[in-house]
Amino acid sequence: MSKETITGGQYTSITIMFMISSSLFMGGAGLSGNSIWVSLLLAITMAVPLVCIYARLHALFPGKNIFDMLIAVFGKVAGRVVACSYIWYSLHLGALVLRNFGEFSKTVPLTATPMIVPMLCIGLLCVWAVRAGIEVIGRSAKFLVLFVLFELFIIQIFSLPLFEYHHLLPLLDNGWNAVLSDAMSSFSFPLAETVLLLGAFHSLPDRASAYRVMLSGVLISGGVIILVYLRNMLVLGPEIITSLYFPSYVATSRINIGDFLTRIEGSSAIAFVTALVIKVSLCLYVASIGIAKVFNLKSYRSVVLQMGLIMVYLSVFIFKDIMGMQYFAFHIYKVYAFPFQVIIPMILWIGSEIVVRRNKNKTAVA
Amino acid sequence: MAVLIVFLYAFIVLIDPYGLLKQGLKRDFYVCSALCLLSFVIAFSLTMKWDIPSPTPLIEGWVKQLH
Repeated sequence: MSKETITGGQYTSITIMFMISSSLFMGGAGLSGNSIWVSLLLAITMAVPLVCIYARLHALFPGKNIFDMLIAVFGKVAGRVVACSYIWYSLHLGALVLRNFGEFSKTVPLTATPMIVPMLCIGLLCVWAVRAGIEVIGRSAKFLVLFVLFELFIIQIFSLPLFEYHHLLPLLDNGWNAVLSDAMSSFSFPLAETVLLLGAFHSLPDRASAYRVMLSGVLISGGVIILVYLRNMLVLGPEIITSLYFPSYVATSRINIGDFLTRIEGSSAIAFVTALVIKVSLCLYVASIGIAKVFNLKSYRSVVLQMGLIMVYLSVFIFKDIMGMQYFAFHIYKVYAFPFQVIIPMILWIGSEIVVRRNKNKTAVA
Repeated sequence: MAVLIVFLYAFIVLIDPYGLLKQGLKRDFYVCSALCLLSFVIAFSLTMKWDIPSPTPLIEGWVKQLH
């Protein structure tokens, strides 16, 4: 496979877009009510050490991705079996994100259009981006992240007159258990999903600091998500937020600047779609790289189209309706994703430290 | 619609797996063909409105057992 490299800045941009995409629209689990920002702060605090472990893996295996690491640490057979689980996870996550978009388009802007049509359009766009290579995804992310952040900043400013600060009180009204439960939800979706970025670690130059790149990505996107959640909370209030599927869209639709600047929710939908394209592209890229590694293919590009089509089809029949999607995202996903996000990377990290030290000792003896 | 899917996949086979075979990438061709067959089966089932088992109830069952 030819070596593809992206800069640290592009990698950070991919991380930001990857993390803010669905959470911009889906909102939080909502058990903690108006204290959701506390649970997000807790989630970010929990995610930082995990991201350091991911970055340490890059330091131990520079120029390698998660599939190379798994095969190097667990051996050819067991490594490939675990790699298959990550192929499934990336395919599944891509399908979940596509379904979020499908449900959004079916519920809000394109109510009469079959759900598969917008999902297929986005899916084929992602197939094209992945076939073009990670450099194209990186360059697109670097440009689009500026647009998305600028647009979010403008919407935040326009929302200021609508803020009702009494929504923030009383703090911790639903108790610490609800806050911790929401913190776990926010930790798994989207913060710890950065585990999939390990699938593109081979494209990060050896000299680039993975710690700096990943931590800055997680902290910036964490900050953006807190600001968006706070805006929704201050505009709508906790009771209304829990009854909505897409609270950001509704919060943005309330903006009215002098009866002149109104109905700008479409622009927030554009930010959602642009971030979503990057996330689905990365999921598809990692799934294709995984297939190429497991089956020892010449190029991951050979399977991109088929994997992309399977991802789109999976997103069609994965949930019965929007309620099933919401239930899975906020109640099931945190437990389901835990092994992929925490347990396997922890075992991989410990194994990597042992393997690298053993190799160093062997070299020193020789 | 089903006929359209068959024609569409005939075109996809020509540009994707057959293209790999022409380049001499045999292993890539076999894997791509297997995935193409899988995606065709799912696409055809969706077109015919056949019930495809979703992995979600299975995952939910596992997670509920853990709780």
